[in-house]
Amino acid sequence: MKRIGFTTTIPVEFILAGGNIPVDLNNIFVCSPNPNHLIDEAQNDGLPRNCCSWIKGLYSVAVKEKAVDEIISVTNGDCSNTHALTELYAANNIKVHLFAYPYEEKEPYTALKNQMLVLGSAFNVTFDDVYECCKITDKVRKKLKKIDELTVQGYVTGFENHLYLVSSTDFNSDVDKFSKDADELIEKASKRNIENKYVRLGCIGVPTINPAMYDFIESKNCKIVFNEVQRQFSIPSENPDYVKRYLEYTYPYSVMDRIKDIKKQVQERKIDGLIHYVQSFCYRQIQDILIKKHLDIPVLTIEGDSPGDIDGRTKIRIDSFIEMLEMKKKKRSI
Amino acid sequence: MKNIGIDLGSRYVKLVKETNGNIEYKLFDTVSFYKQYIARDGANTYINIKKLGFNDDYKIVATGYGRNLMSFSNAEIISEIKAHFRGALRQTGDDSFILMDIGGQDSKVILGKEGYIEDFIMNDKCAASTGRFAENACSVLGISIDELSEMQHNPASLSSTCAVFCESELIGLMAQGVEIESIAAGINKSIAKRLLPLIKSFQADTIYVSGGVANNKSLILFISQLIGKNVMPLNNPQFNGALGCLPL
Repeated sequence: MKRIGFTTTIPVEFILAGGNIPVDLNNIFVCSPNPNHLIDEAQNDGLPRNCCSWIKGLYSVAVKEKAVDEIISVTNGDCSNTHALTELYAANNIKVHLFAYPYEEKEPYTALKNQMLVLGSAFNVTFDDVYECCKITDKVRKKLKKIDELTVQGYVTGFENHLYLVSSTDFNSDVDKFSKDADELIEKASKRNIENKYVRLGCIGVPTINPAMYDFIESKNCKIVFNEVQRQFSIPSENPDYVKRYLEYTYPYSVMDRIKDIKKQVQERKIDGLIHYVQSFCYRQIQDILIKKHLDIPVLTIEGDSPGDIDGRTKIRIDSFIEMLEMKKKKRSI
Repeated sequence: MKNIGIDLGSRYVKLVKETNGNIEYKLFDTVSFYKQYIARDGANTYINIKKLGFNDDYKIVATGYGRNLMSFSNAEIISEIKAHFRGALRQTGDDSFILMDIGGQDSKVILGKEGYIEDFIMNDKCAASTGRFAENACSVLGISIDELSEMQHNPASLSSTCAVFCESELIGLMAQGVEIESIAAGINKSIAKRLLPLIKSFQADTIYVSGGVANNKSLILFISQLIGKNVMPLNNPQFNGALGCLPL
């Protein structure tokens, strides 16, 4: 039983079906007792100051903390910094498997299936094994959908939604415990009284490195009812074809596919405004242009760099944004 | 009607006092203001209005940087965006416009439509388009902010993306014998260029500018040239946020 780390969401059933333990390196980094120390360690080894903190955290948890035995590096569908990170892993004698989501391949289905087959052969897992494993994980994914529904209805907080959906990439390395925790949350949340909040917000973009922003936002007259990428990380597609689920997963593909998904969710969840979180030095910051161009609802872009609380400046922006949405909504209801 | 509006900026505190329609303006250095006029009474922090020379019967509304950090027992706090927008409504009588506020530490652009804030955008984490940058550059060049305002001819090209590194670039240009006026004009142009993407985010024919930096005539000229539209500084640009704290 090996601890298999990965740099972003991968078809996790390939790890579980092989009897191995999945470890999302991002979660290990951000949940560590002192994530900023991990960033410092990476910088001390020479990783540039103007490089995304996630990459530095991913470097240190694997190279310094030796949190995993082997790593799956996602070389397509995530940022190209992962390429250099992969080279650093290899230079530090960590066994690395590559996984690439299709990018403009003529036959994306075949390309993705082939990638999965390569992964399967590395861990001695067949598609039959994966489908068998899905019998267990699909039940957990259904619970995540319930948590998401309860978020839309107002029973589950934006932070709880973020936490459960983002943690589903590796099920916190323990599917059984994760499943029980999800049951507990559903039971506890269902009994809560719904607080009537005036403004309904959605969070889009990569998961924030500053989860404290959730409590700050929801301390206002405001409810977060959507976490875009976190929801995608939970693989919401129920397609009976396992490969297709990961083609319908929007995160590794064109931003236009993400925009389609966001538009649909904005309508279904009756969202008044969106907060687009971008990570400092991340290529996805550029996609903000297209997001603002194609979404016809107010979008506030906020930027985070290191773990910790959000800074005063970001709080001012969020405050003003919510205030603006409140005024607009009141105006519409006159 | 007796009202006081206070804009607690990063460099200056701007205070306006309205008594039966008459407005009085006062400007304080931020650090001196906090030292002299912010007082504590047990758990409460308050603005010492008596020390400022006013009676207790004024309604105080305040705004400023760090709204979330501010809590005064004798003042209502509103956001900077709201304060600046309301200030422009009050000063112009218009209800649809773009307002660009260039502050000491940040720049923001607000789109107003029919009396409501439609959208707004703030600069990213960079000081190179703010008043603080202009101040620092002036001290490197040994000129005053008023002199900077007049300098618009033959702008030198500044390539640095960072307000801090730009200082060494200024010294390098001086060492090469480039004229001070040309370097200063280059500073004005570089601030205008940095503000351009913010303004271009929105479409409107009327564009107002607030904040102390709006007094910089050359900067206003460069912004107008770059966007191809007339850009108008408000009458009391530096006091716009404080005026927006007064009732409309």
